[in-house]
Amino acid sequence: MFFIAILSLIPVIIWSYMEPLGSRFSDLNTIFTSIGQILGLVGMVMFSINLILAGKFKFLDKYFKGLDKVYINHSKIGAIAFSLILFHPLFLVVKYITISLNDAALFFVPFVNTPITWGILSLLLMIILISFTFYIKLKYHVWKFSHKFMVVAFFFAIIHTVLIGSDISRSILLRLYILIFSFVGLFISVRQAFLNKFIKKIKYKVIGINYLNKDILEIEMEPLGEKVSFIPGQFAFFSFISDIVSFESHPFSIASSNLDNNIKIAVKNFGDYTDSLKDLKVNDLVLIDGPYGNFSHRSVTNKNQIWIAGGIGITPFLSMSKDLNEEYNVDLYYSVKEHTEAVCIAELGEIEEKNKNFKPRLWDAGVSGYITAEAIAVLSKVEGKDIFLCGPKMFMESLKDQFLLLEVDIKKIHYENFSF
Amino acid sequence: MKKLSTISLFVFGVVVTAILTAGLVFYQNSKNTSSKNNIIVQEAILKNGIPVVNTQNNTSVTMQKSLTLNMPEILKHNSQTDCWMLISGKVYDITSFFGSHPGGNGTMAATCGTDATSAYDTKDPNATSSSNGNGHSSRAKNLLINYYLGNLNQTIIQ
Repeated sequence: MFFIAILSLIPVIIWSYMEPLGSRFSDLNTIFTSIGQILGLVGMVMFSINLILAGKFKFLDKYFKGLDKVYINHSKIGAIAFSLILFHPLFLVVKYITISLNDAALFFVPFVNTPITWGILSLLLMIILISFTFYIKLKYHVWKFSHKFMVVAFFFAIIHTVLIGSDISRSILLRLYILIFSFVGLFISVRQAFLNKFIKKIKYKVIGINYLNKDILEIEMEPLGEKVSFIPGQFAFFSFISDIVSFESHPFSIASSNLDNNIKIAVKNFGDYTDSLKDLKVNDLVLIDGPYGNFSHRSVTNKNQIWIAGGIGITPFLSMSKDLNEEYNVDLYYSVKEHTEAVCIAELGEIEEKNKNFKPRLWDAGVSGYITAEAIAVLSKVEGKDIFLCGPKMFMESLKDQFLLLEVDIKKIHYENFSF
Repeated sequence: MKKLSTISLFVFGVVVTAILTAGLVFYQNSKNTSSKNNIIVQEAILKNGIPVVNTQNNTSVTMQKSLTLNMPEILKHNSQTDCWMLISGKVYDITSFFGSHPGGNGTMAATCGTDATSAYDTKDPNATSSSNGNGHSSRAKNLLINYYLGNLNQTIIQ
């Protein structure tokens, strides 16, 4: 975040050296104009950075320690950039108010002045799309599709930046800085939003589809060439090429061992898309983008660990448990709403037989109630251990808070949000 | 972060609505009471294609006074709050442009009440000849016409 703040403030530094600051802040009129310009410059750079963050890059996954953290920052920076851009015209309109209210009103009317018109159109589109994100609940895939049009809003903003006759047109350095950021952001976001098909993906084909219970489907895939090289616990984005299943890519944790030739995922039926996966057929092509994520027993040096899975959240732990050697000491709590949900318990039992330091425990919430940090602390010594959580968001948030109350260091609690 | 966006959107909505409402309600009023002579001149330019003073009676202008745009007159308007300048034989009242000049107010203020032709052509307020430096863009020239009062030594109605 510090690095992003520096990058966002560099145009302000260039701007401040362009002429004596005294004349930039000589009277109320120029002060408002100057603040308006700064807000526009910083907002534009932050908007560009945000589009780069949405580019699903592996270096960002590593830098932020997990793609979920990249998206959390994307959301934060997006909200800050949006607010700065909203205030940009509010400060600039002040000088028009001093001329006349009519001039000020015309400032907000499109098609009066060409550069300003592009700015107005960009802002209007941004307001609509942000409303879809924060205020109007849309189905995930509808929202995801709508959010792609932020790229169009950004394109309008670039035209506004290029045409506007202000400091950006006078300083080559400032112009270059803003334009380089803008075009990198534009290129990455167009590629990500509209040309996703051309991003390099690893090809697999479906070789098996098994129902583990009435809601959970296990899909096994075989590489057609290059293999996905992953660390147990990581996830990837899967797109299935099928007549029935939509092409959109979705993230799933890899459940199989990293030593296996094939990849397995387990999918719970949560909605339209996951329901449609039952119609997949053997030999359907799969495009895999990944791996991503920092959720792994290997990401920490401490080998004494507690793993807690909520329902289908068992999948990364399945892969991780197959990777454990004798040095690790792991207690796995597998919480399910009813015993039929515990589809992986037999497989976990087999791993336990081979490795005595791995202790899986089934927690049937239908019988014992919700699993609590207190109960875990009684059954396993929590002190000095790293805790890994995977499951529904509420499940992870609740357990994290409970462990914090038990004075567990937050750095020892690891989890990833899959809400993207 | 949702909170930040909500607050910003609310402030934006209120300010824009207020300005649009006030601006449109007062539009007629401001149009009628505007004493800026350049509006009349602009209308004349638009109609005839050449800068000719509109001498027709305007019902909204109650007080009319003739004024010759000569150097002594230009010299009187030499401050940021009342700034006239001569550029290529044409007189401009650029007072309301203060705050909008990309080059800042300082560079413009230095040439209020003077023949600013060289300064305008070179973007250097101290320039005495037009031969060096980079002139203003065609966009700037289009903008300048909004502040046009009349030609040097022309008599205008104020």
